[in-house]
Amino acid sequence: MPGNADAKIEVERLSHRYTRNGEIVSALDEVSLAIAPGELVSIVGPSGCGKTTLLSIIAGFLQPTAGDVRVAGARVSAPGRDRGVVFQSFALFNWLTVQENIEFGPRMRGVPAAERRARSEQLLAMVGLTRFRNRYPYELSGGMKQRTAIVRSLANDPEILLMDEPFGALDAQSREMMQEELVRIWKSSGKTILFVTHSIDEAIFLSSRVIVFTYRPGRIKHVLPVELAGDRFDPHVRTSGEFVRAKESILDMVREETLRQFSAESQA
Amino acid sequence: MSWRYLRLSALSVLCALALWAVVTESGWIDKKILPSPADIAQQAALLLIQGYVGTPLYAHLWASLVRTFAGFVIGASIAVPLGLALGYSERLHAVVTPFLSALRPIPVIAYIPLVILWFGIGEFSKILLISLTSFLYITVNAAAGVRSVAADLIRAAQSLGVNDRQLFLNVILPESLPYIFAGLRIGAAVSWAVVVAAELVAAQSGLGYMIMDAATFFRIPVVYVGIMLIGLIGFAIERVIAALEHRFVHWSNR
Repeated sequence: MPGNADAKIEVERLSHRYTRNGEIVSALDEVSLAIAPGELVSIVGPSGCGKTTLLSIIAGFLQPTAGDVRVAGARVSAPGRDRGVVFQSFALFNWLTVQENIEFGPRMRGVPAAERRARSEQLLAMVGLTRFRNRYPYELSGGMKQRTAIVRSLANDPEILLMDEPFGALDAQSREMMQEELVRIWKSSGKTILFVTHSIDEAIFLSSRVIVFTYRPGRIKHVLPVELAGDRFDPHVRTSGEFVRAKESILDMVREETLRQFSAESQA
Repeated sequence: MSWRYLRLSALSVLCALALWAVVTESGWIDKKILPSPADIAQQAALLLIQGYVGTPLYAHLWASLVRTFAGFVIGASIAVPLGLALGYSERLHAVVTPFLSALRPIPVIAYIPLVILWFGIGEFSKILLISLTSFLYITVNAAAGVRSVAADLIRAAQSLGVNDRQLFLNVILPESLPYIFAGLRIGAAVSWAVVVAAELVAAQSGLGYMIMDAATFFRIPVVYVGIMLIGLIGFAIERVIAALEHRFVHWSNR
């Protein structure tokens, strides 16, 4: 779609097939989407719907069978520091302190120590980890680990942030705190974020658009724009009328796909 | 271990020593077969003062330690790079693994006659045996370390902009360190066991030699002192490496 030249992330007729146990699995089938600069878009869908595959292709970890991905106009072919990635498993460097983790990317590309330090101090302050800068990852809670991982990606000042179930390993309370934290980070950094999750609540709370994926082959079933009128930091936003209405419609769609997943799996 | 359990361990050792003293001093077990703790302490003191057949005790000890250290260092310095490479390259792994797998289950003592045949009974033969043993253990662990690195960690590093060299030196190597240290710990323990075995067969010095020679002349208390020294030093070696491990891979098992 050359018409979307101003999109930050452009996915064009992307397909991905692979063989498992001699059977061809179609993880993605001609998926196209465009994400505008500064948008936070979530993808929801049942397990195996190809949402993680899509993220991995945009990150450059996987080569698609067909189709194209462009980020900030550049065609994606391998992982690179223009695309920050945040994982469910945190993927922190256990032998480095919080601050050293954050400075890892800049250090690898030879940013002078003083400059690196100034930036990491700023990021530590942004996520309230200044006091913990000399701790090691094993000394942190799950929420603190993920905050470290998020600002580690931001230290490289990437074009976009790709997040794969980043809060999936956290307990319910830290999860909600982290969602609010992410909204804050998103607003202050102005980054374009693509967020994959199982949680419909999380998707509605965070996003300007929620993309619902079908079970195999992975296609876009529906795109739902979310306009939460109220303040996101209002504790009752999650029970507001617009929130509940969005949740109901997404719930129905995801349920339909989950049923397809179940029947496909019971036939296999 | 907490203080309370440490006390329990000490008590347990004291009880065993007391029981041993009772059964030997009472003549219930022939002292020619099992000397009493007092006999052994006396013999140890004597060895410390007089040495063993003209050579001071520390010289025997030193001889064994130097061989172990030399063999271990040579073995480890080949094993760590090779193991890392094996973990890294599927192809190299396929080429080398059959040999490593075939060699590992063979007790190194079985090679002693061959090594003597090829290289004689000099220092080289003993050091070779120790190198081989530590090499086999450390290689396997280093390779396992590289293979244990999670895909997410590699992906995270790549997304942070590392090149292949940086990925290896700054991510894969440190993440493999806990495995490498485990290999070094086992390798050192086994090296120490092997040096004694090698000295039992062919040596003019070392703890193994002292034990073998004393047994030939039926100086049983010396045999016991030798065995105990081997145990104590083996334990000390393990503690030293464990301390290094705690220092350099503090994040392991946390």
